[in-house]
Amino acid sequence: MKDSKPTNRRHLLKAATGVLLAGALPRTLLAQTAAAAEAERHFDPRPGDWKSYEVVTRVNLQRASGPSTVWIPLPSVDTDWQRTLSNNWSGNASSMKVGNDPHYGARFLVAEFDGSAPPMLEVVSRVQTRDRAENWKTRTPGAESTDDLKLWLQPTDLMPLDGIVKKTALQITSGAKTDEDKVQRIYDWIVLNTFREPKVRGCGTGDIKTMLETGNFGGKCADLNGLFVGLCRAAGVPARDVYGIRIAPSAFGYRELGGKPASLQGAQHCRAEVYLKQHGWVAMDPADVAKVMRQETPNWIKDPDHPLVAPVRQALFGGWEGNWMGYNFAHDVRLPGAKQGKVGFLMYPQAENRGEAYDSLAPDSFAYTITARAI
Amino acid sequence: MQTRTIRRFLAVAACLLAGTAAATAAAADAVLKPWPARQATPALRLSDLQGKEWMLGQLRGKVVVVNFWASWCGPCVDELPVLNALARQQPDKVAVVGVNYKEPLDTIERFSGAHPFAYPVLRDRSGDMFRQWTAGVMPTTILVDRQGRARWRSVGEIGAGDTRLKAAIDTLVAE
Repeated sequence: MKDSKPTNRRHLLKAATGVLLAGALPRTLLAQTAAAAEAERHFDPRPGDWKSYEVVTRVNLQRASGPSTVWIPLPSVDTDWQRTLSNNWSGNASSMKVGNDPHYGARFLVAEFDGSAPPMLEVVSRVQTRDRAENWKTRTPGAESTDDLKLWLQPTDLMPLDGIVKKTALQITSGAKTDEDKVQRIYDWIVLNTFREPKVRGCGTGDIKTMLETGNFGGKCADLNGLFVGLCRAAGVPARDVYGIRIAPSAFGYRELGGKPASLQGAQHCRAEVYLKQHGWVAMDPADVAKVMRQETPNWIKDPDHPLVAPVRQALFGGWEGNWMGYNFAHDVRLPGAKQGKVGFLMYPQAENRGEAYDSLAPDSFAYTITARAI
Repeated sequence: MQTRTIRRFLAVAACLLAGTAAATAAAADAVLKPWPARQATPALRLSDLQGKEWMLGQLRGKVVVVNFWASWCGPCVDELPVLNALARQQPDKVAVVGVNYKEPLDTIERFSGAHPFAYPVLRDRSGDMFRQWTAGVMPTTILVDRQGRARWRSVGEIGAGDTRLKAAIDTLVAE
């Protein structure tokens, strides 16, 4: 039986928030809580056997005239939850070679096309993954040095750590005694804040400072795990994003927590990790808790203790399913030969032709497909 | 242990409450404020969809409504009819320009095909103009007077019933 946080935690959260928020929350939230009759769903990832997958990215670059360049992220993670077995590629490029990001170790294929034919490229990556679940009872201190951990306390272009970010982090963690306590509070805060109405109808450009200033935590504007990582860093806890893609359905029946292997374009998802003194790097994914709340059912569930949400909220603090492949931990990646400057993160195919970037978020127009199969 | 746990969640909830009390009301209409007095009007150097350079000085003599947008920004899309109407009302005195934030040309063209613009669309390809003209929120709409000086900045979606922005434009036209 997995050691959980204090067994009365769920009821305490409900009691505490009920006392303070009953006057402030919309009545619909309380009605939903009262009306929730659905049996609790089971969500309990456990590190077990390794599962092997083959992930294939195919690019048929559209409307290319003259030379083009395509960059494809390669899985660059080797840990006790993912092993990269191989990366192979083929196509009609005049040159195909692996590029490296010197700061975070991200690897990517750089394919250059001379324009003599419509660019075509296929990248086949083989990985092994398994579920993660932290054992909170056992201390397994991490081995990273203070110097190594400095990298995971730095601001990035999309993750400033000053101003409202710092102020919010300090407010959330005020009085917390341990790094684990700080992270728990920040995790809970993210989950509880996802149903706030934005202050103005507007969007940030992905940076967490604007996200906090506008109060807009939805849509493309929001990167909740980026916000989680930024708040942890601002509170002095090393943390990092892990950029990757869902490659299989959830084994626990949660539609929103899985990918359709036959068509994974659009299944990209960024998870997070925090470094705790007594546990090393620990899995975190409050964004997926928010996703279940917003999208798993037709109605937006605003109660984190809802029977559909509670097991996910519990398990994604310290764990996740291995139905997802991590590409890298990189920020602000400079792609060799790119005119567009740095990309804030690299988890999509990227391409340029005649100095114009293709839209990585429009796979049909780009065009690319991503598929996976268990092997 | 139990007391400490309760205290922790009360702290989290209190932090939420401070924001929730203000935020349970519907999101505000666009927030219109004077352009910061100590901030000089930045240059506005953009390119049009054909790649030709465009500068704000080309519209000297008219009130210019500069609107920063992106196709993925829901509120930007929702306010498009309001901006189209503004562009059609007094074209000899008021010009509207839409400045796209960092999207590929193909994306802009596909979006424009589905959502026709009644005014020029220009490109901020690097995001530098967005950084200099706005506080990082989209949509942001800046009113520039007939002498080329930024005078008002509106943050957030302009609602269909908005009167404040229109009143500010009329005042600048009358100056």
